[in-house]
Amino acid sequence: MHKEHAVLAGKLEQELRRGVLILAVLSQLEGKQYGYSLRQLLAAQGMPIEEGTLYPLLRRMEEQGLLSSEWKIDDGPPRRYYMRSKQGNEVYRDLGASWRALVGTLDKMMKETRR
Amino acid sequence: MKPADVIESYVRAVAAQLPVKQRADVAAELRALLAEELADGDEAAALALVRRFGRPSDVAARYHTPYAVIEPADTRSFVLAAVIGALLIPTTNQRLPFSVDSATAQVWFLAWLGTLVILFALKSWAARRWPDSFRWKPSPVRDDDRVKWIEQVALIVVLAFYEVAYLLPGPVISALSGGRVDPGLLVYTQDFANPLRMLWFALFVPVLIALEAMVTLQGRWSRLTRTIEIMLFMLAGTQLGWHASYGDIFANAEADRGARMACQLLGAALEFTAVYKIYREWGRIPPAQKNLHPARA
Repeated sequence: MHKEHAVLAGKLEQELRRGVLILAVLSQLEGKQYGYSLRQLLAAQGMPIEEGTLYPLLRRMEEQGLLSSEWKIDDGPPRRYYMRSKQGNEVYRDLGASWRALVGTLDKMMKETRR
Repeated sequence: MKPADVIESYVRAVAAQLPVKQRADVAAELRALLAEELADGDEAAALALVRRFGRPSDVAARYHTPYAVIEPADTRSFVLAAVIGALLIPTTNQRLPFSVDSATAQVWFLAWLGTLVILFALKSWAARRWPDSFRWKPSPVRDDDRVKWIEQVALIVVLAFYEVAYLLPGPVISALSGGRVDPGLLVYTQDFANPLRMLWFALFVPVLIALEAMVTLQGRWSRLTRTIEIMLFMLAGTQLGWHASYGDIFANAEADRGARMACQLLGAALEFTAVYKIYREWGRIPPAQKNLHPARA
């Protein structure tokens, strides 16, 4: 039973994380990053994301106009670098405000339930 | 296999499932990223990496949402339509007047499935193309248990007519045809007039008429009356099916064939209606309590 709870909690936490992925990625792309370096950066800050999730996500965000990208060849192999677009900056600002409000609301709700 | 070949094979498998204009660019990026992730890893490490990344079809779906020929939300409707179509295909029982051989039945069923796939694919395409046209619209809310007087009275009249025509086929058909049909042709054979054959349908129909009349007077259907109606429909339909299958209803061959056809069609209609009613009963949604909708009170 305990194991089932742990599995369920793990799945729900994954869903929770999936919901904030876009915000996490936008937060790290004020400057240019390519897929692998961004993954390392996110992991180093406590937000590990599977490569199979992150790399396609970057493409989709670019299609949505949130990111811009360009290919670069600096000494090493060619890499596609991403950064927030103008629209991405605006969405990041709005999403950030929504996130903070949401965290505040949930905090309040959870404190009230605990009483 | 070299690790680079594992990566290349994987990249090609993913890219092959993407729209043509996206393929080269995604392949180049994915190749570079996987190579960087793998670094100096061997073949086993390369396999572990791409397996962690996901199945090529799943990964391709993350890059580009694939369209569905049949939307997941339409799967139930598709299965239901396929089953209804299968039920409408004539029987393969060669004893019945309306029947087809099993090869024809299979061809019809496959043709029906093919038609459904095309129709559902068109609907899926139209919903993507014109999403506003597919917005949900409320439909009138009906109280299914409330008796519809006109429909009930019409049903009782039709059932009473069936009963009279069943008991006295000669006079009834002769009168309906304006005397053109000789009532002497429509005399039941001794075998059919045997109580074990003819009697049962003649008994079911009055019971059904009594049930419909009682419900009409009560004004509402209940679970019990709905269940009894379904059972009577099934029993009457089965009895008519036997009539059609065994034949020898009238001595005259032409009249016998006509009677068997009528029995098969009517029996199939009763069975089909019974199956539909069972399906509705099975998935029945209890009506809302009146006080939940004060605006409608």
